[in-house]
Order: sequence, then C-alpha cells, then structure tokens
Amino acid sequence: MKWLALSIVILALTAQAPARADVVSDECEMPADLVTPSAPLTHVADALAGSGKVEILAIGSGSTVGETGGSTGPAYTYRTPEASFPFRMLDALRQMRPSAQFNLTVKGGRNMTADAMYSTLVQELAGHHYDLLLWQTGTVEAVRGARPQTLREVLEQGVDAAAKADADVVLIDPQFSRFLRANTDMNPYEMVLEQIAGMPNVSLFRRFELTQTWVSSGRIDLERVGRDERDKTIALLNTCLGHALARYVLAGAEAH
Amino acid sequence: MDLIRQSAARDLRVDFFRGLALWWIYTDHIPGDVLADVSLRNFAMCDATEVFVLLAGYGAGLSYGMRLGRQGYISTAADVLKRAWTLYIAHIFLFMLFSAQVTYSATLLNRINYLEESRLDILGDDPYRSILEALLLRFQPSLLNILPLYVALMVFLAATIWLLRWPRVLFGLSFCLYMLVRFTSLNLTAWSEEGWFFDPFAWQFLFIIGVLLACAPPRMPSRKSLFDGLALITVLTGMAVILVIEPDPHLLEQVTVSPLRYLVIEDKTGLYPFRLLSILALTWLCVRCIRFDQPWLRSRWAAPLVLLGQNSLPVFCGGIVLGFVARIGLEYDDRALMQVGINLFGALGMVGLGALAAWYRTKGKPGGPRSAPATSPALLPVNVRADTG
Repeated sequence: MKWLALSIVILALTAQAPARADVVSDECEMPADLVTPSAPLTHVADALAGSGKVEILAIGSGSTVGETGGSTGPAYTYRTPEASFPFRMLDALRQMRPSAQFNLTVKGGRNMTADAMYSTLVQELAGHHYDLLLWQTGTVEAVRGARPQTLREVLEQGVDAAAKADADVVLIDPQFSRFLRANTDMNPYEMVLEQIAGMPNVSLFRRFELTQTWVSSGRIDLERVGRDERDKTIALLNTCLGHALARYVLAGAEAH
Repeated sequence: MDLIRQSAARDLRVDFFRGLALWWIYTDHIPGDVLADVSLRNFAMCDATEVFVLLAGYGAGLSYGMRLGRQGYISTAADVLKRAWTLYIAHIFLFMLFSAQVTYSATLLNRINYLEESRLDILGDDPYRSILEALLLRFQPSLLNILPLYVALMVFLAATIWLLRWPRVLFGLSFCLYMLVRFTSLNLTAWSEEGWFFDPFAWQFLFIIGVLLACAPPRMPSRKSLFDGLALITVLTGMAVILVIEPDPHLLEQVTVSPLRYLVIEDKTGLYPFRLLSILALTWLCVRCIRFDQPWLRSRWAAPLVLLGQNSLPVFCGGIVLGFVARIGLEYDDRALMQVGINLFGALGMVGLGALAAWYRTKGKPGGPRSAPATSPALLPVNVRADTG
C-alpha cells in the first residue's frame, strides 16, 4: 500500500506518463484464479447490460486514495489520487469496454482503519447509487495490531449496508511486502477478509497473493529495486494492479 | 574473567531461551532474512515475544520475590520501579536512536515507505505532540512496542508484588484481569485512538505466570504423562494450523462452523488464549525434556545465547538498531553472501554488546563462580541470584 502511495508521489513529481496498458501483458503475470472473483458481480453485470453505466466507489487507506506521508513535514506529504490503482483500474476498464461508462469515486485516507472509514461509507451509499464497492483494508489494522474481531464486525456492517444499497462488494487485502510479513501478524486479518468474502455478493481481490507473485518472479519488487529503477517500477505496479482489478471486475460481471 | 554468570543453582535454561528469544526478535524483524523462516513463529502459535515476556516475568520473580521477605513491600516495590525507570530510559534512548536512523535513511535512500511502515510518519505530521506522546508511551513506532510493555508490566508488578505472599490470590486476580480484556478489549489508550500494540492488561497474565513460576513454583503433578499429552496436543495443533491451515485458508471454507476457526483467528494484542496455551505447553515440554543440569547448557556452544539472555536489555536495544542496518543490507543484495553477512553481523554485534555489558558488571569484582545455594526441589529452581539482565 505504501509503495503504491509512494508511486503516486513520484509520478506526480516526475510527470511521467503511466505505463502503457500493453506493457502490462508482458510484465504482469496474472494467474487466472487471482483475477476471477469467487462470486459473480451481479449488480455490475446488471448495470452493464442495462444502462451501460457503472458507478464505482473505492474506499481505502493510503494506496487507494493516493496519499503518502513523510517525516519531514508537509513537503513530504503527497496527495495524488489520479495515480492510485483505482484510477489505473478505471483506465483499464474504459479500454476494455469502450462502449460502457465507468465512473469512479474515491474515499478514505492514509492510516485509516475500516472502522474509521465506515461512517463515510454509509454516508456515500446513502447519498448516491453505486453498483460496485471496492473496499481496500487490513494493512492499517495489521500494523497497529487492531483486534481482528473489530475488523470483522465493521466489514459485516459495511457489507450489509452495501447489500441494502444494491452494490457488489470487492474486498482488497494488503499489498505484499517483506516488511509486513516480517513485522506484522497478517494471518488473522487475512482470515477475516476470507470469511467476509464468503458472504453473498462479496468477493476478495487477493492483492497480497498477486503482488507476492510479482515479487517472487522478480518483475515488480519494490523492496529490492535499485534507486534509479524505482520510479518506473512503482508506475508499473500501479498499472498492473489496476489492470488486474479491471479484469477481475469484468470477469465477475461476465460470470453472472 | 568469566562473563557468564553461573552457579550450581542458576538455571541456565532460562538464560539460554531468553537469549534465543532475543536472537529470534532480531531475525524475525528483518524483512527477507532467511533465518526468519526457521524461527519459533513458523512452527508454533506463539513467537519470541511470548518467550521474552514469560522469562522476563521469571527473571523479575527471581530478582524481587526473595527480596520481599527480606526488605518488605515498600522497599521491594521501590526496587521494581527503579528497574521500570531504567527500562523507560532505555526505551526513550532507543526511540531517539531508531527515529534518527530510520528517518535519515528514508530521506537519504529515497524510501519514504520506511516512515509509514515504522509509523514514524506521525513524527513528521505532528512533531511537537509526538515527542510528548512518545514520553507518555502513547506513541509507539513499530518495533518499539516491547519495551513500553515491559515498563508497564514492571509497574504492574510493583503494585501487586505484596500479593506474592498469597500466590493463588495473585494468580486469580491476574487471570480475572486477563479475562476482562478478552471480553471487553480493555487496553491502555494510545495516541492514535487504538490501544497499545501489546495490551499490558492481557500480557500481564503471562508475565505474572513467569513471576509465580520463579517465586511460588507449583509442585510437579503426579500425573506428568497427562500433562505431557496435553502439551503435545496443543503444540501439534498449533503446528497444524501454522503449516496446513494458514498457507491455505480456503480449507476453512469447507467447514462453516469449525473449532479451527477459533484457533486461527487470533490477536497478538490481547494475547489470544491459544497463543497463551501454546507458550505454556512449550514451557512444560522444555522443562520436561531439558534437564536443569544438562551439560550442554554450560558448553561453549550455548555460551553466546546464555550471554545474550543474561544481558537482555542492551542486547535487545542493540538488536533493533543492528536489525535496521541489516535490512538495508538485504535491500541492496539479498543473495547468500549477504544473508550470511547480516546474520553474522547481528550475532557478533549482539554478543559483543552482551559481553561488554557483562564486562562492565564484573570488572573490579573478584572472579570465580559465586557460592552456590542449595537447589530447589520445585518445578524450577528458585534460590538463584537476582537477575537484572
């Protein structure tokens, strides 16, 4: 997540164009099971079949909203949401389905737990119709050692609210990093996400597993990349994640 | 000069495993260290933290339990608080050192992620307040949350040490407080809304168990094999969860209502009961399998870990700083040579720090082993010199 946030910063500073989508197929390995939801996205499918207009709400912490912070004050705090992976997903969706109209709203903030996002989520769902809710969470909880039970409860409430608002839910788990694996106990939070993904109209986009695949193959490894290659790698990671998520969403819609 | 404290009655198993826990804390916290894949947490539903806290309680019990009879409550509690103060000062110094190290490295190496990962980004967001909150132990960057717990546990011990005269009462109260945490999530508040990473109200139970094992050790039960079996089942169940369920969580989807779920969904913050059971089971098996007077504990091979365990505070602090340097090394190159290099670097650095601390403690004192008091027939020997390592 932090890597993604950092990518946004550097992208903005260097004004580099994001990596092109055709690079994606070469660079990002996407195992089929990781870009196919376990449950069909019925509301997205209905929207595509009907008006052709899909309203998407993405809520999450730093990597979703494109915020990152540093220790040296405001100069190192960046907000560049356009480069975050939900926007890269939007680009990919528009490329893959030019006939459809996709609209994206992004909410949340750096260092926010799911619990902290909940009121915003309810407010958004009440004020606007969304066909798809992307809910990225788990990292902040794991880093802080928040109770997994609290995460489970708030996710259940959020999923209920989304169900009442006729929106599909795609949960997005933390991004793989060796630091997270070494210094936090991820399993309880992953288990909660897995369990919530068992509820109707909910599925889990396994970002952890997908990004770990890229790290293992050595193609996108932000913790090992040299300083000079870093900016390009961050941009590629954002684009690959966005592309994978777009494929995931469309696969879910087609499964209906 | 003998840098290792040993006597006929000193239980070197405690020192050895305390040292091992410190070594695991070092390797476990370095992202990508291959040795982290073979540490305790890969095979058991607990990790070095549980070992560290249990043995810290044991050490504190040895140090202060016996003083209670000689010095009385006020004087002993004052000594415990003095130790808590030493730990607090060490923590604040480590906080400064680690903050400087991480923030400087982050800006120098263009790795802002260091700041967010270690939660030191807050230092930049709100520098004035964060200094105050750090002093109040309400701002705990990643890796710097064990010493605040240790401080809180020592303060808790100071408040309750008079109850050592009635060990069952102390155990009962400690257990009730633990259960209260399990049902209410009671925790000390931290600056950023949520509680402490290691909830002292929960972890005190493990610490107090350690204290009681030292001060009021229970007699060995007559049906040892029953306990052996239970401990073995606990450890094996933990292994099954770690090695089978966690790598493939989809297995849980096959069974909607399963006791396994309760074993897997665990929180370290509130010392999930299965974590507690796991460390107690492992302790039992260690006590049963490794005899107090095993010669290898006094061998040169065990000496480095024993030395670490006997000088835990400087070794722990040094390990955090050395670990961050090792992390940067691995990010530069994580092939075999560097893996060997950073682990040797950590081992030599920590043993060096332990030796230095031991040398300072022993210099000017007459050499030779201390006089050996009689051994105890209890579960663990109790008549051991105070451990302030």
